[in-house]
Amino acid sequence: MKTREDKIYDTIGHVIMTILSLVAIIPILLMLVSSATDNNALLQNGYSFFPEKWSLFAYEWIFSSNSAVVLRAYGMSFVLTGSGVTISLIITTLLAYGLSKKDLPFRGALTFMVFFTMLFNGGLVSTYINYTRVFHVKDTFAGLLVPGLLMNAFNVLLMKSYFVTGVPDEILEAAYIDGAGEFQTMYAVALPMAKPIIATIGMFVGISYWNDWNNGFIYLVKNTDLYSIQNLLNRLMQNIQALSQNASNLSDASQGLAQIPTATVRMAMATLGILPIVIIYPFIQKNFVKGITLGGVKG
Amino acid sequence: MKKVVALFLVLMMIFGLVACGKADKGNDAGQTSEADQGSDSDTAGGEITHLVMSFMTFTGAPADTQKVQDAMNEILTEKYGIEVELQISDYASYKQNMTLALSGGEQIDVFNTITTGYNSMVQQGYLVDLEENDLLKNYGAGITEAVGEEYMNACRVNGKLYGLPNNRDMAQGRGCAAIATEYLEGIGYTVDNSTEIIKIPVDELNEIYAELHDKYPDVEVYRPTILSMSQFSNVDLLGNNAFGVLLNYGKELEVENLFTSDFYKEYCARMYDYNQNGYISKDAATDTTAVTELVKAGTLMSYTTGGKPGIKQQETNLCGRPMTIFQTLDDYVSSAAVASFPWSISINTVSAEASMKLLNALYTDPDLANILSWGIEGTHYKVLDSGMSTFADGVDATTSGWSHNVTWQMPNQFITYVWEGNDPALWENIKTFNTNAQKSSASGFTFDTTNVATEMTSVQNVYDEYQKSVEYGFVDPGTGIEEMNAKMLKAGLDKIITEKQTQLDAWAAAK
Amino acid sequence: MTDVKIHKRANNNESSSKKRAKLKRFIPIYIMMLPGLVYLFINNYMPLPGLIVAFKQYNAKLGIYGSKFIGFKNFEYLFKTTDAWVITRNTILYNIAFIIVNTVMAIMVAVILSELNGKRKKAYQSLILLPNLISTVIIGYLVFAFLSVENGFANNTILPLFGKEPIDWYSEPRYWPFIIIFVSAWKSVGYNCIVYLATIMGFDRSYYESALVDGATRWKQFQYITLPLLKPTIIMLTLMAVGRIFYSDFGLFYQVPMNQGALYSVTNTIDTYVYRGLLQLGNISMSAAAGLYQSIVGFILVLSANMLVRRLDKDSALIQGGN
Repeated sequence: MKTREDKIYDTIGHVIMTILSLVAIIPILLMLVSSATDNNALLQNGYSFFPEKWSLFAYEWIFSSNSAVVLRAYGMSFVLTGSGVTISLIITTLLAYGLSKKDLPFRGALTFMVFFTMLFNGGLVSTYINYTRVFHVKDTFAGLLVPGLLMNAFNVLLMKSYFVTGVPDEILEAAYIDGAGEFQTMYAVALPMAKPIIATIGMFVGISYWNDWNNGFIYLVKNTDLYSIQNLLNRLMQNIQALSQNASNLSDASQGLAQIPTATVRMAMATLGILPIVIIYPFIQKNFVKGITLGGVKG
Repeated sequence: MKKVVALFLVLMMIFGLVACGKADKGNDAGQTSEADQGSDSDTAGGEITHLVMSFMTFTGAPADTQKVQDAMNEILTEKYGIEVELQISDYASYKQNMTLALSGGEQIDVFNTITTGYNSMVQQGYLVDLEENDLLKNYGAGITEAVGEEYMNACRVNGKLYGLPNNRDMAQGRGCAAIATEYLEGIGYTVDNSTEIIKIPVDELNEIYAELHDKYPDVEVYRPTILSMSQFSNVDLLGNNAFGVLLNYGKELEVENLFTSDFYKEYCARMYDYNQNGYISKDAATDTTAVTELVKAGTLMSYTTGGKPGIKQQETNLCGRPMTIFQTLDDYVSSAAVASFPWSISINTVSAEASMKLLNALYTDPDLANILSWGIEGTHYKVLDSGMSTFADGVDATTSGWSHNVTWQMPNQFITYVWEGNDPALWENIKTFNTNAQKSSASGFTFDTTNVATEMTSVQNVYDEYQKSVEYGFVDPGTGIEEMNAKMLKAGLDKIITEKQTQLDAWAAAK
Repeated sequence: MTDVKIHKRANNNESSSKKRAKLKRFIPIYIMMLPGLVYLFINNYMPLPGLIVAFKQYNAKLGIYGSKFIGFKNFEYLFKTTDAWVITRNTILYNIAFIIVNTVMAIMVAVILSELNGKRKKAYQSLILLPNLISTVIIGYLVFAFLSVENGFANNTILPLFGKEPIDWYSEPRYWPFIIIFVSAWKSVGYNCIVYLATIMGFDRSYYESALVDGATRWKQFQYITLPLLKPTIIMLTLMAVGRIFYSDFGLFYQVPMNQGALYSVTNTIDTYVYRGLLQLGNISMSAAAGLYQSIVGFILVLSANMLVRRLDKDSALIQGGN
């Protein structure tokens, strides 16, 4: 039963969200349209929602020179994001659950240890040396997966606080009294209640894995077969930029370079980078929302 | 309970195994195994040294890198007892890849210092002194011969040689403007196609621009770039920065403040005029589109470039329409030109001797040089009856597995074939171009920034802040230059200039 | 609440071995935490000694630890500059603005979304998340598409509608604080609202049901139920943001204003200053020094803020202290 007041609030809500959605989507539409604009038309008239001349040459160019690579990179991105989210959620949840135990010995010290990593790191060179000399992740899948992204203090603390406030001690206590062990209590009682935060962190981690290109730049030098889609697109983009700015060195390159529709290729690449997300997002979201609402129904 | 523990342990083990498995695989690329591989895989020689050689291309390792590497090794193992492994990065990541690999103790033997900054590599101790233990004399005599003593000396830092210059165009035609020929014809200017570069005084260039603007008011006349000021000057940017320069083609060893010089005032005033006359787009400072692309799209008529043999054809290719090149100043070899990206041996090398041998081979052996530049004959390129090279049958720039566009980065392109479409005498022309150009008397001077690092960062930020508005003529030079200069002085410009002069004097005295 | 003894079944009344028994009881918990702690050790603590390079004159031959110790010389360039004040001010003020604007926006969106239902809610949520998936380089070009002097929508379409003169956007610093804050909100609101939405979804519905029975309006519900329940999350996220207050999103301040010199007075931050200064020098010691400086200031600020929070509301603090 909706009251009149409810209806007014709903309408206001819809209006605000429609405006925000439009603001979010308009520049992205522009990106989409620009990627399908003729390069010369774009340079002559600037970016436009209604280009004088349409052209899919930017996509043709990307696929004609890299089609196999593009598909493989997509595959790599999915595998990377999938495995990254899975492992990350396991270790983050376990650590956060432990830290949420109020009478855990050394809890303060351990929380501080986690928190400390949020602010301090050893810097690129020393991190690189650690990962390549001690753990040999260079030119391997682990080089994309492990450094930096697998777990971060922010997510751990976020989840810890959810466990503290969202999973009441009384419920856990009841489980212990019923004779459940620590693992069972966590698995059967705490986890279902923490679904919203698990879904949230999963989303955060997923986005950072999908968007990441830095690890590939640093740790994949010879084995570029392992490039994810973002690595591939970023590399192409930066190199096209470099190519056109260093044209004076390129007597033999000049002919090939003149073929690249640089302005529209940039937009096409950005489009290719988010396209799969746009396609599969509704499925992820379905489960995400389900996770949230299931978690919301409790005791 | 037990089930959960078991599950957890299994998960941990899987995770551990996956991590270990990857770590093991990682060893393939790790440094130790690479060296092992070198001695293990080549049982024939027993003394074959495995070396890693690095350079950059604009697109990363070409598809046929392995094939080319094998072809090189066929020659190298037999003649020199060396086996080379090519580690090719793309432009964007080369600097970081090299710095990290060298800091991380990975094996890199021979590499090109492009984008990494030769000078800063030397200062941070990444490079081997090439004359230590008579390394160059004993194993690299051919290099000195191929390049020439003068250019070798230009790579010295504090008297020590850390890099070998490659053979390419060292000089740059200063004050060059490229103008699309069709617009010139449109204003009735008769283009002399018999000379590649047409010499004119700057006033005449200004007149041409004025006529172009009258005739084509909707097309942008001229678009400056970040390099335009130095390309259109007789200024020598000592140590590759504008903070303390030599004026007048570096004839005198007197470090001066560029920003108070008459040249700079005149240059900026000219740009300001261009702007006032509406030659330059208001978006010039923001738009990052390459000037050649704008010409191609028909929105721009002219831009500044660096002159050299073959420039007319190059710009014509880039712009997709015939271009005419004008030059208002002289050809010039700046102090930093020769040592801008020499080849070096890294401190992580497994054998400095073998590395020097490899470099010597690359500088002197035409077969090797051709493989490195053009690939494998018959697969990637073929030699025409004229003695020039072109793509092998059935191959073009996009399908070739070895078309890297960085032949100018290779040690010695003068001993390779000239690519079809160029002047057959291209290498000779470049040599003459280099020899006839004016030369900086500070040729080979490098600036050690250690003592003025604070001032450098501060002044650089001020320059970045003002450079475009002043040098693109968006502000009145009368007030703009003054303001920038005052802020730079406050940030320590004087200290940099003094330091530079001190180092330059010491350099000259040691010479 | 804090002193509830959970594991009564395991209680051993002998006080001497009480502590050991307590430790033993938590062994399964420690095992659970192990993988995460090991990862932090590998990823964050093992490279930490490398920070020493900030105090050295790095020389590859001697390595990080063998290089010459030069004290605080590598830090000088951050302070001994006429821009020191501008970059510090910009970094801090923008971060404060981001904390306020982005938090308010995120909570607003989360509350609205939590009360809507059906397909449209999902659509809103996916649409506002999209900007977060686009790299700042591309955002820079999209902003340029709107603000370009000659071809931009602002000058060609929007301003003429209001009869206004074209504006030279990239040389007018006064507009840029708003543009940057707007772009930051545009990019992050969809992302930031997720946490709040998840938290709201986790609230006990019975609070709202009894409020409805009492006839509380939606606004009252927000004021007296949602907001107080969200407080710990808000405080925690804000505290974490305070720790990053000396950092700035490089792309947002470098790519989005197209590295435009005329705008430096309002776009130069510590990160962009360091980047511009060190691009030529390539000095890893100096860049390490900048990072360490940012970390230490953030560390001090966040600890002070945490102490304050602890005094006011112990449960909301990031680090509660205690054993």
